[in-house]
Amino acid sequence: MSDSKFTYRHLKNYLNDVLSNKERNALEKKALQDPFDADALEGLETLSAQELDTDMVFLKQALTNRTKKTRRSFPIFKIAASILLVVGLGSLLYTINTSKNAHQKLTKIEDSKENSDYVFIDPRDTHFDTLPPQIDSTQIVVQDQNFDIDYSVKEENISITPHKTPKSVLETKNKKAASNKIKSSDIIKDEEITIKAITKKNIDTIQVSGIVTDSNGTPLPGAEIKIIGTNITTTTDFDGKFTLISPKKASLAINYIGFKKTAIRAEDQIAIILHEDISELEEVQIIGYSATKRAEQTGVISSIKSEKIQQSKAIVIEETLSEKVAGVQVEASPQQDSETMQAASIPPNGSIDAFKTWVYKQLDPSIFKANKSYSINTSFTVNTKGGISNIKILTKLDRSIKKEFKKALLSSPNWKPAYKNAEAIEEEVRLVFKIN
Amino acid sequence: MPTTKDLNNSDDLLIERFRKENDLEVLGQLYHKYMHLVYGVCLKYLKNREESQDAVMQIFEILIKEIPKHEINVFKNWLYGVSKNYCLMKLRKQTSEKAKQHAYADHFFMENAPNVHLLDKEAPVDLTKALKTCIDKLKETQKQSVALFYFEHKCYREIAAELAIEEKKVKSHIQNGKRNLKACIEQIEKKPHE
Repeated sequence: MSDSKFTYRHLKNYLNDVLSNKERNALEKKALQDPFDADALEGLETLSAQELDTDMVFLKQALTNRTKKTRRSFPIFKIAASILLVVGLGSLLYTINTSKNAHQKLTKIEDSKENSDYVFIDPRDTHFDTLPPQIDSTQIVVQDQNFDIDYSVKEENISITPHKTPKSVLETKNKKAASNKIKSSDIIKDEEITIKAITKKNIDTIQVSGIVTDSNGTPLPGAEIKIIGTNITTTTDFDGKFTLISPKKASLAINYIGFKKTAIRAEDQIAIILHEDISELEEVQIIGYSATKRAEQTGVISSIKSEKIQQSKAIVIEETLSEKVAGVQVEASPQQDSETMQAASIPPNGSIDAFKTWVYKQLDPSIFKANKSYSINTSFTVNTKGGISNIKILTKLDRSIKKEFKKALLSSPNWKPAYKNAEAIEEEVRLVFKIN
Repeated sequence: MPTTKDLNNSDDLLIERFRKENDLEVLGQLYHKYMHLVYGVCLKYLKNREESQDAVMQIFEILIKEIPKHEINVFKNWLYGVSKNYCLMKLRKQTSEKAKQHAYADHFFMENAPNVHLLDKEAPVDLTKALKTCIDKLKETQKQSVALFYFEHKCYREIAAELAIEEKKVKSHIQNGKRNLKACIEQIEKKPHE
């Protein structure tokens, strides 16, 4: 019995359809036996060959970055340099001190490594309540070696830059903070998130500064730098530059639409060169025309397929797109505008509300429980002829209700299809029906 | 072709070296072998490329901490357990804000050994009478799928074409067929004189 059937190379061949039928059978058999292989195959099948290749290259890069040893070349220089620095700083401070007392800016806070207060956190996974505003490490509560994760955290995006001191960035929600040895009054503010320090001792962080350019050296503004494994990101400024606080040997992911995603190791100064990736541009397909959160949207929206757009957390869709796709001008308009490139599909009754009312009329009221209100999230495709297909009920409901809905939607008369550049296109429509 | 035993040995060797030397490069070597599988599993449960990539790196961090703590029999199985549980916990976290969970309960780190069905054993030449009777008892589609897959060594695609059904259906017929066979055989083994 051989395990070589599930090497990456072999799997790639299977997915790329290079194997003979007998070989396919053998691999499929193996998958049936080992749930790991079966699950992995199932997951990998969801990607295209190119996507898988890109992703594996990226992951391998990231892994190498994470595990490679730093070259210890002549630490003597580093030691000499740090001694000089300390001496220089010392004398500088002394002279400043003797002249003006209140001048201690202590922007060196970020450099002094013994203070590990910039502990690395992922607001989703950790529970943070020990970040003192002053640099007083005796106040930091350090727990035992175990890696503690508290999942009671609201998901929020935090971007940490050296200019924001701990006080303003990290705010605590929990009464737990009060039970700590820190003065909670220094930390607690109105809006709150709860994060807890990762409890590995000696976690070193560094300030990473760098610049992102393309292969010609042109800086790339708006590129996303993310610390892998966390939700912490930053973007490059107009000159393609950025700064970030990161754990010493972490891997950073650099993303920019139109370019291949790259992984790089966190170091003090890095210059990143991105290489173009033609295939990425195809992902941006549809332009939205309304700036509302998905959950609140009860009208028709066109789905935006690019992953980049979803991730950038920009609520204003127009900005994201203009930024990320060269040459795309997006105008915000609440209704269709013949001057923009796209119009959404129109339901048969003229408006979404009228359509919904019509749907409600088609439903058999007996399938709904009395005194219960429903919020039913549906999605379906309006094809180029205006017909409805691919109906999905996204909310969890009884089968009977789902069936009834599907039936009602299917029986809808033709819509006016969506248009792009005067040509009819397919559009995915999402509607939320409220019933009480 | 390297056998499973050989691979186990090399995995074990790497793990030992890592336990002794605490050298991340060694662990990286080991992880490199299975990274695509971990990625696949994460994709299956998290359904998101970016999140899955993050997860793959997070799981590596977990390995660094947890390998020294546990006794590991077959690394691949253990890795599967860790990966799957990580993904499931992530999902649970996403759906329920209030769920407070302790990081990794003991049972998360137990190994998940794969099941070996009678049919899966290499070269099932010596078919027992029981198996033959049971196969006959299967529903037509299941019987055909199972037979084509195991006896004629055809792949899903061929079977789907031959029986004019979807590949997914073929897979489920085979899995259901296996299950029914297992139950049927167990039944017969309980009453041998039947």
